Amino acid sequence: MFETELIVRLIIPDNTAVTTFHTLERMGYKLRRLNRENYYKFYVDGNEKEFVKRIGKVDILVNYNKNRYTIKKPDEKFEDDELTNTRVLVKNIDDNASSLVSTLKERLGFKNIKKIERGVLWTLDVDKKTAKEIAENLLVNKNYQEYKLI
Amino acid sequence: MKIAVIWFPGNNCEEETARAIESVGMKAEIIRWNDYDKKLDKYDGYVVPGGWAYEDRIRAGVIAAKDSVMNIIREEAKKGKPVLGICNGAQVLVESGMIPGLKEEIEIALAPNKNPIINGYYCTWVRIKNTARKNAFNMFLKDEIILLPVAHAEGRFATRDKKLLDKLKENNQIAFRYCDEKGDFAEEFPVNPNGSIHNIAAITNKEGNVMSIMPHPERATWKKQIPGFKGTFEEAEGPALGRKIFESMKRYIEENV
Repeated sequence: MFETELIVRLIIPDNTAVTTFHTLERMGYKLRRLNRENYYKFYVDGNEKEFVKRIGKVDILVNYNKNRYTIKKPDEKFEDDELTNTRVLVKNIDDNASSLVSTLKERLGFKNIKKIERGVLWTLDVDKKTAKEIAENLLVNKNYQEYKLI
Repeated sequence: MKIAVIWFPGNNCEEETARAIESVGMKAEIIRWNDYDKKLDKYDGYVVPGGWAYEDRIRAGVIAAKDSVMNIIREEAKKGKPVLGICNGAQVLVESGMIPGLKEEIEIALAPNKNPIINGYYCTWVRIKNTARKNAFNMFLKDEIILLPVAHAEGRFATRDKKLLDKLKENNQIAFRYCDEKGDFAEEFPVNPNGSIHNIAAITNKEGNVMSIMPHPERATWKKQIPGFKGTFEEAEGPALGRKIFESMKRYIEENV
């Protein structure tokens, strides 16, 4: 079995990221940039090359009119630039993405998917300590969500 | 007696909420969240209505919860004024920490529904029953079962604090619970429409003047709103049980504010 990560970003303005940026400003945090991406981690049996070739073309995950994507292995590093300091990955506890798994397996032919984890990946130009504060003060409700700093 | 109905961008229940408030003889004013000229501290009570404030960006209620208007409402609540959050308004109060209000942190969530037949948004008619001691919102309710609608995707009260439920029970903060037509609290779907712990439909703060309620009492204020109603036009304008929540708010203000 192999694991693959799909990270999907918007190429049109991300209103949620803009609102989050301004809310953080009002809360007293000084950021120069904030990005938000949808994150999926697939646990799959079978041919990895074939899966990687196909998964980015699934339009319920990537709408090429407004999204672009990156595929990477879990242990590969993200591409960073000078404004990236910390990433915060937020997931809902108990979310097994069952309807997404079912759609991919039963309607779209990805029969070898065993499991999907999904979440929201925030990229912030702050240090880890500040990112943790931001996560706990805004991005995450720990009563039903969990997060990790990357 | 003036009640401010706080209108965040994306709320869509402000008009019918105002009508429900006025049906019991209070004056409702719909106040935009950024109307800094309005002296919010001059109002006798506050309602945060339903809808999708800020499009539920990040998660339902959180952006509105951080808005400066909530700081004013928090201070007025500390003076004992009633604050009612309905559906999205309930989510705003939870994300602001005003509910349950026991610590200086977010102790509870209104999490995505757990529902065996549908993922996401779910609307239906439910029954709730008052289970708390007298508070600002249940003064006229004894064992009545209120029939009213829910319409939400994130209505499940959830907490990681295993002791919180006991504290809420001890403090009498569980205001309403989902029940069946006999008033029994069967902790299963469809009686519980969203998997909320202990069938909780509404929670107050410890003082009983702030309440987060997920079902919509403003949609069960007149008999004509209740499914299956048969009667004359005049009878249709008569009160339904949801109105008692607003009547209670009025009585509370008369006696306490």
